[in-house]
Amino acid sequence: MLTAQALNNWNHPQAEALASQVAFNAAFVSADIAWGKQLDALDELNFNPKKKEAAFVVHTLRALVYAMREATELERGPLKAHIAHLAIDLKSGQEEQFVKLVASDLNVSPRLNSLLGLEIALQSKLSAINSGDDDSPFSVEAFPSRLSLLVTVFNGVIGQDSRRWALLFDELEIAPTWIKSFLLSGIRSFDERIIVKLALVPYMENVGLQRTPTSPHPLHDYQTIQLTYPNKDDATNFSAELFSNTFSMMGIPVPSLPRLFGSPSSRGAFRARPNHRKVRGIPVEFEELASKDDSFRRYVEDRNLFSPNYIFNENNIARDIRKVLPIVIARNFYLRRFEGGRVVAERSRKSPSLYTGFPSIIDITEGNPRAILTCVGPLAQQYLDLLAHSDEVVPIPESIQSQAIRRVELLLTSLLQVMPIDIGGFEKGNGLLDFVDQIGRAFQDRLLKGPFVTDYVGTFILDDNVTAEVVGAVGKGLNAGAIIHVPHAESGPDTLLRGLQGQRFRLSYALASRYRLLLTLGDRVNLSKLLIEMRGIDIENTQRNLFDENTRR
Amino acid sequence: MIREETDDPPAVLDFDVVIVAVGYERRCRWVTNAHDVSAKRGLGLEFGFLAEGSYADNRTFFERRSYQIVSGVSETTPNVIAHAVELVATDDEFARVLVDISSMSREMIANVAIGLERARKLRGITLTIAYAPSKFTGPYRPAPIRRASPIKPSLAGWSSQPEQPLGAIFGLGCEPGLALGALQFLEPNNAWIFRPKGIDPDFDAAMMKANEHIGDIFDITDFGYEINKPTITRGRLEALLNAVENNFRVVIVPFGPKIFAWLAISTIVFSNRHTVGVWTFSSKEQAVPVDRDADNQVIWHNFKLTKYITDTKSRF
Repeated sequence: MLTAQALNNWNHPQAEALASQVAFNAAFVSADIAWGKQLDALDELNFNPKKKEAAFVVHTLRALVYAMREATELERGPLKAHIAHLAIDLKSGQEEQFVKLVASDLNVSPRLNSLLGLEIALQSKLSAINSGDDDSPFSVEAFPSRLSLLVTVFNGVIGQDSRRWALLFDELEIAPTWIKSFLLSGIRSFDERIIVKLALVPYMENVGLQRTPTSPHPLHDYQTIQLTYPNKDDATNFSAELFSNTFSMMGIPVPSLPRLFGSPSSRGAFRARPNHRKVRGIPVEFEELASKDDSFRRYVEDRNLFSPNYIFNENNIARDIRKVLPIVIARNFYLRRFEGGRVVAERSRKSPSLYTGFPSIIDITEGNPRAILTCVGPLAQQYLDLLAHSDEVVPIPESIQSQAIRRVELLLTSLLQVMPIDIGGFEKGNGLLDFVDQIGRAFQDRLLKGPFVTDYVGTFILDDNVTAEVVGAVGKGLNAGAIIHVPHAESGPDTLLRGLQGQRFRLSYALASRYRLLLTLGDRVNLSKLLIEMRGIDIENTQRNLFDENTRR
Repeated sequence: MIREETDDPPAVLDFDVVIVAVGYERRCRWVTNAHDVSAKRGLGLEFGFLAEGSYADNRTFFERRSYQIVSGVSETTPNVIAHAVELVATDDEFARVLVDISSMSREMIANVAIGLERARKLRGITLTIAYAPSKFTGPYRPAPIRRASPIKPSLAGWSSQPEQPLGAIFGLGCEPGLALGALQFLEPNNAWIFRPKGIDPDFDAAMMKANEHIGDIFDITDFGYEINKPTITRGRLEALLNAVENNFRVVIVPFGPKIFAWLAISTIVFSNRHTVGVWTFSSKEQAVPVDRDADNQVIWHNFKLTKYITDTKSRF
């Protein structure tokens, strides 16, 4: 998106204002899991890790040469005025001079003394490394000097010594470890004419940012942009816009998403409700739950909620009603009878209808474009089919919304199902989905299996009492989007690159219907405690029994 | 180069070399037993784990027939297979080899193909593949994936243009959500789906149910194939590869019937398509063992592999 050609092709109301501010020519260094495994195989087949590093170095050099060629070709084609500063007028003599100057240092012999010829020669070098050719000229140690050489010579030839170049590394996590280490930790002393953008997952097993005097410093040397949203409200604007645009593209005008997804007054869902500051009264779910849940009945009686003398002032409403309303809705939806501290009968509700309506259906997509398209695409088609057989415009039925919610859940659970982890110990044999399920079921038990409490627990702290394998499993869940980081107020956006332990997390709202959870953060609990609860170990009684035994001796 | 390809049952069931799996399924010995297969040299490939179910009976059955039991999933497996084919005395310049893939893992199938490819340096091979589909045993129970990677490093594929879009060819199976998860894991720009049509409608229904939302979520091109027509299916696969290989970095994920895995792997290995990767998403030792029976029929696939001339290089 930041390459010169992409900016020249970008049509958007803000394109001119934003693209004109781009003060560098960008080289996109593509990567994906398939290429990453091919690099690993290069290592395994040759028993030489230098080969995969060399392949990555050549790939990056070629991407930079391509960006140079792109800038010169931009100059020769249709060019938007606000992109003119990214186009480079390179005469054929200059091009030939450039290639002659760099070819021997890059250990290649281009058949054409042109940028294209140099690019092809580097591509051949990449094939040759795979076939066993010498890789020593492309070591990680030589990586920065090779990049600087290309920039110095090219800028010198065009007479713009300080022209800036950017390397946009995609999916950096697949890069060889030494390359990652250099880019994350050694970048401080790198060439000032080269900007680096690193797209990477939040958790990487074998590398991270260090805190040493020579390490890069946030804001001075780099900036971090998070692409996930800890609070659902942060994602709402982006998601709502993508929802609306997708509907529009499919021929469904959207004057109002709340109206399209359901009336605010509908019951039995977390959907938006009238502001309780203005509407005085006890929600009907309170009465229904009190009639079947004795723990909630005590709560109601303690506060005299059903008494005509209850005072509906802002403080009381906020504390007694608004705070617990989502908990009451969930328990009322899923419980049939709760007595004597345990569930006597629950409702076998498999439909995720509790999560239909606006804004819940938006919240469960977490601002993830693929989740949004998975949710909206087929839903819009079903809705169009419905409208074709209807005389009036109706909101999208709950059944269609429920199917969309299930699809979003399936999108995530199917990915978790194929991600290998090795937790070891008595968790051996469990996969990432089992691990996330454990956390989700533990939250569910606290919400629905025990007596009513006013504090919902929906987040966990990755404390020090878990194994390295559990930290790795949380990291993989984070990378998959099943676990979401909830940063502390005082922490920076790059916190996760310095380690996961001590951080707070929640589960993706896409999994809320799977575990019958609320779409709110709630309180926190240590992960070690949560996992012990789910393994059926009663810590308090175990400790008491041990103590009693010791006492008897 | 694959030559003289047919789906006909072999006229004679006496082979120079027979290669079978020795695992936990009763199905391992069904083809050998029901078709009275005989071999000058027999190799039984075992997994090294999940030695339960019918494993002991299978091992006894093949040992009584003088089969050599070896690891089917070690680094040396291809060479063991190559040597068995190279050294066996034959009446013809082509060694007659039967491989029963019915109970083999995809990794074993890859080792067999690579072993046979290596043997071609010394002799040609007349190859017969036997695949006995299993009886339907009810819904598939998912097991956690222990390995998501190319089947073997030599099947990772390679591209000197990593910026090219990724294209994925998927075979579909009956494991709920598995193909959808793998598609997300690989994130291809284009996906071509091979949907099996079997000989048992229960399998077909389970396969449809297990993959019902793929088309809602990914932009895919759907191909149907009949599992009892391997030659036509391999032809389609090869034609698709020819059409897309120049514009995509291609990986194949052969979920579903083992015959599709065989067709994919044999096309890559015997045609030396070293740019194409073949991936596995495997539960390995965490798989839920199901002692499957054969469904009383065999799908055959035969072809000839010529001996390599001296200067021909094979990546495998």
